[in-house]
Amino acid sequence: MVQPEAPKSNQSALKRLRASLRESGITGGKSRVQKRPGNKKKGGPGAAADTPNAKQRAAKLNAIGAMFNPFEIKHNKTSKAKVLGQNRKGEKGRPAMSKQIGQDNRKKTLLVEWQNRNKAGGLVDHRLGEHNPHMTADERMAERYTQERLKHLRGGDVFNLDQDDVLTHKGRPLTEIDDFDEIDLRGPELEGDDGEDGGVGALADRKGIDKTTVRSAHFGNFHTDEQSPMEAHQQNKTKAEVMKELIAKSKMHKMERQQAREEDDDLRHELDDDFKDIRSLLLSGEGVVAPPTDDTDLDLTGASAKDRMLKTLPDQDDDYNQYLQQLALERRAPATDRQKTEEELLMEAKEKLERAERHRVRRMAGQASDTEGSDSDDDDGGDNDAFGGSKSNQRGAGPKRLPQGDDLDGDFAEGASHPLEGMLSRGLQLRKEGKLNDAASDSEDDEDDDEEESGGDDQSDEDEAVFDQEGLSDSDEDDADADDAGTSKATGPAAGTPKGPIPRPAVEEMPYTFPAPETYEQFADLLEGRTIDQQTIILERLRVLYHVQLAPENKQHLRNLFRALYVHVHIRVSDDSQAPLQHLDVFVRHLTELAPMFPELLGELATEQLRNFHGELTSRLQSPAGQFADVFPEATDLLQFKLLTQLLSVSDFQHPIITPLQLVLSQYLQQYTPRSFTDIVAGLFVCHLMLDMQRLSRRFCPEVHNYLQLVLAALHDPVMSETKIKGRPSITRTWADCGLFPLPNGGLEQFSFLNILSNNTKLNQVQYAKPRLMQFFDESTLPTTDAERSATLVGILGTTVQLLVISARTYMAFPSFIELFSPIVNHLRLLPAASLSPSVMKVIQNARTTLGNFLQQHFDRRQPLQLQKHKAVPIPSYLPKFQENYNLDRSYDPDRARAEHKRLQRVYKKEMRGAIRELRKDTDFIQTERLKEAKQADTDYKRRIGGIVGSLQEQQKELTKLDRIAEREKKRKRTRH
Amino acid sequence: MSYNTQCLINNVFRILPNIKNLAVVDGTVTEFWANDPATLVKEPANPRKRRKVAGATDQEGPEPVDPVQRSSEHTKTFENLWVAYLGLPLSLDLYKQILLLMHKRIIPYMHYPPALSDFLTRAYAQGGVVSVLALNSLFTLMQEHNLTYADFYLKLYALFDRQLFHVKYRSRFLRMASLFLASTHLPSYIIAAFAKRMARLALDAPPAALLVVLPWIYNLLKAHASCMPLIHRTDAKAKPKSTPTVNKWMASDPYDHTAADPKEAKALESSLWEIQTLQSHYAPQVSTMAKVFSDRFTRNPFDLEDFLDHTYSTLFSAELDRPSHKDPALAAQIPPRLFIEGDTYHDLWDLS
Repeated sequence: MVQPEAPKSNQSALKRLRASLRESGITGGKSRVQKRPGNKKKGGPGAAADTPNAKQRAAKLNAIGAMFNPFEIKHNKTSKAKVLGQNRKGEKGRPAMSKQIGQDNRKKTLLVEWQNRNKAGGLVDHRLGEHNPHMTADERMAERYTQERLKHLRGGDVFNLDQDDVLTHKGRPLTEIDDFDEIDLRGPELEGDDGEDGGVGALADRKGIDKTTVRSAHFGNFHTDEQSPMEAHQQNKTKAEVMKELIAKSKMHKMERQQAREEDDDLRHELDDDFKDIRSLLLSGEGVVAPPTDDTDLDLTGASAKDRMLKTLPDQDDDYNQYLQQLALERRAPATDRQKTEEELLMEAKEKLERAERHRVRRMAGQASDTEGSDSDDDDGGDNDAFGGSKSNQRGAGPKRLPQGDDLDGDFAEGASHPLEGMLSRGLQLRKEGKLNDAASDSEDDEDDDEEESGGDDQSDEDEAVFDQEGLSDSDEDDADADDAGTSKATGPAAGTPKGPIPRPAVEEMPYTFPAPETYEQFADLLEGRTIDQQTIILERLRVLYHVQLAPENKQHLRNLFRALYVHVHIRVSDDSQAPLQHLDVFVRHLTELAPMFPELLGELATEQLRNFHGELTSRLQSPAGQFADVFPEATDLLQFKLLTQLLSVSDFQHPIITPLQLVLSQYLQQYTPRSFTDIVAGLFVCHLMLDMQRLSRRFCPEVHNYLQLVLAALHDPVMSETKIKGRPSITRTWADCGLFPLPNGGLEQFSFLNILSNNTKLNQVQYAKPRLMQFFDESTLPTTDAERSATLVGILGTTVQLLVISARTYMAFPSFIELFSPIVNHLRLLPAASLSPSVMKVIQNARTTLGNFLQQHFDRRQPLQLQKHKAVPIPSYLPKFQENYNLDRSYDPDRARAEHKRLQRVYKKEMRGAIRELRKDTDFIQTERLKEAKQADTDYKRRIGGIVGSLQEQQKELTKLDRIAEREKKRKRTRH
Repeated sequence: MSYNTQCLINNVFRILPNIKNLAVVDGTVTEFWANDPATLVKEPANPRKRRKVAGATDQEGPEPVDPVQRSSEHTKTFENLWVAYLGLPLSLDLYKQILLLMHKRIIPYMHYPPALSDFLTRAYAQGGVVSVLALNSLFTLMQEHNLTYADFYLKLYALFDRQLFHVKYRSRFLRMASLFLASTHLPSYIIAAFAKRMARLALDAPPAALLVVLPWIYNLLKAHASCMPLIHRTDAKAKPKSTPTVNKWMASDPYDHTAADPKEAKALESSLWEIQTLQSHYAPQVSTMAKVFSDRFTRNPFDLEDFLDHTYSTLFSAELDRPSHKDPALAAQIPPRLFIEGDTYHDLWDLS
């Protein structure tokens, strides 16, 4: 309700009242009497309530009255500094009014509860608007109707029969079915007949309801006087009879349905018979594709063309429909990917590479990024910049891997979308070739093959033979599948020839299927006595036979194969270190192909190997020198570590295999004192491995640096040689000039075998040749003569110097490049140039110029460090902070959590206070009510007792009165007598 | 030196360190292993008098009764014994062994420990491992017996040589050295020189040593804010000119590694580029530690004890035993052969 504004307060109350009355239009200034407020107020509702205007007037007057009653308004001192025109909350209050409102509310809610406190049950009127006095009856009904409609709209309840949804029975709406349509109401005595002659005719007879039925059954109650005996009987039917009737009827209906179906069938047969004739006509029709029929006797002469047309037209439609149906039912071709254009394929490959590179860079930075999802692809775009865009570009568009023997998309199956798929087809190709050979030779060869297979089995023991047989049969089935796949593929463009000439005799001698090797021993048996080419074929056939897509258990077979291959590489190298390294690639290729399937197995194998290597290394370091005579590390360790570095992601910041590998190799380089050429060569190879691992991540490995410097110093000790020449080292030869690498226990003297000047050969005759790595891992091929030694030493020198160049290129960006490499340049300069051949000197000279260039660049660019260049932090200020438009109600706490906590505390306190106040008021109210009740009860009691006492007194009075009268009568009689 | 002398010296060394648990407080000498008739007569109240010091018999001679019971006499004898022994010509091995046990087994039982100062000073001046080992005892003398050692830090500085981070006693030495450098009253040029020298040596150090050196340098910089220019220098200065020395490139760093005196090393004008280099060390722990220098210098000083016991093996085992929930990441492109044509292996090796 809008309260009228109180006029200015400097006038008298009377004037203000008048003004407000005038403003509200109650006083028009017509009569003086009406203007008088006293009259108005006291004249009040009784007089004014007659007209509709009077109600409004009364309301207005009430409002004005309330406004002018100073006792109803309470003024609060909310603020000391008052601002004109400002409306503050809670400045004025109407305690009486708010109290009244509270009371009223409580009467509606709390009081009701209080009064019902000991009652259970009762009636609650939930009718819409029933208790709303503001609603008219029409409104109430409209509202109810709307709600009802809305309920239906929302779905309503399914089982509500009042719904608009039409319920059906056998496809007919229930409303259309008359309850008495099919019920036979002729008496029970006719039932027997009914059952017998129940045909179509009978059905038709019973369709209508005869008058008697209507009269007796429908309106029978209104004509009780006319009841026939039959009707009476019908009415008196027992339940059993009714059931019997029902059963009989259902039987009858069933029979009727059967008959109807038979009739339909007959009709259809007739049609089918006719159709033969029509079909012959159809065949002649033009533009209509007829299905091929085996019915060849065409009778075209029997009917004229027009007749034919007439006949065929509907049949044409029929035919068309039939075709349509056929087409609709035809199995749809499964959705396939669109054949991609070459650009798309290239783009895809490029994107894949780029994605892989992004992940690698993230891992290199030590961020968790192994989620190979596309979501992370977008946000890590910036990371490339951190490492220099050029690097990532170079990597992204860098040289792709070289074509491989089984590079399927390149070499073999151009259409193969999946590498494994191509793999499969390639293997099949091999097999097909073998089959062709077989076909060319006579059938005896086949038998020979079989014999060979069984012969091979004979060699193994019985159990294995059984296993083999099973394996063979299994794989035969697989073959069948594979052949199917192969034939379907052979039509494609993929029908190339397998790469690499396969020696014909090898193919002919080999069986086509092999049992899957479960252990390394079985695998070794398979390869036993085969040439390397045969082994290649065996492996390829194994891969095809146990392709993972052919059977689920093949994954386990491949797993075993992978493990066996890994072990085999180890054993093969340690057995025969002088075998050509290229032969290893036969196994390495399959390892590289299988590794993506079993990364965890690779991890296990590598971990185990690393542990063994580390154990071996520590035991050698702890034992006195010379206790172990054998070579350490073996060639196989070196090669397998090399394999690991190319299987695994070497640039990761922290890698479960690569990081321990680097640690253990570093320990080897740092702590294992080399004692022979083999040790030095192994150490240099390890250095090469370590440097190769850093080619992308460019991480610093001090041990490699130390080792290379040590080898260089061992090859040519500048201090010692100068001492030899001049008798004393020059004053400038301080330890800083030759590098700060730690000298091994025992000094450089123990490496005298490495000194290039130690052998009695003319060094300047010895040309530089790359050292043959595997040469040093066999006793028989070690250099023995002076010439060989010199050649080896020159080779080692060349390799060392080149490794230093590689490391310089790797560490080019390091700010300590000068400290790392300037001693080396000095050292290279001190090498005895005169006694070395030009080919060696060329290598050394190249290294010197390269390193010198790098050093000069670093020298020119060296800047003081600025590691603490952070974003400026504002200086903490203790000056008071002035807030524009400061508001007490707002929080200016910069700590959002704290501010929120404070806010919640405030709200809680406020709510708590409010709740306590409300509860107090509630209690007051309840107490008042209780008191009222008690008073009421007392009053009632008093009244009741008063009534009783009153009535008793009345009785007593009457009694006494009668007694007195009787007494008086007696007296009078006595007086008479 | 004759073989017999050598044998004697060795044999004596077998005996001497076994003299343990000497009484150092008066009145605690109550038990003797042998009866002394002289004391028996004079002090019948103490019938079970024994000699505890077995090796002292030949030098003690006839003694008055009271001194035997006085602990100071025991310690004096002990001291004389050792000082005499240390005067003998000792082999390097023996030298090391004596130094190893000196601060625990000898100094606490001596009457006047500074008597060893000559020996220790000589050992400390010797350089190398011996100095490293002498440092412990020397520190005990300095700390508890007010030994003053001239040019101590000069010598300590010299101890930081190329072998230091690779020797077996590395952690022992570093523990001591960190104590010496912990003083906040040291001039900043000394701190800077030590920090720079350690950083220079760290370029060739194993990861286990780096894991001590880096936090240590951090602590030094943290304690001596005047050394912060070592890692952050804003005032640009004239570029050095390459001088025609043997190593002209090294002139780009004002620090002079060859200077024996930290005062002349000009370390404060240099920068710790080595630390920036180590930020890309191959061991993840080391590079993480080196990267701390690029963060804000708000960390609490590191407790070096946490880092002192690392070795290659502990790092290796920690890496290998690290629980990993993922399969090891494979290379993005796996070459199909062990050595592909065109890689650097073919340039350097004959791979047939």
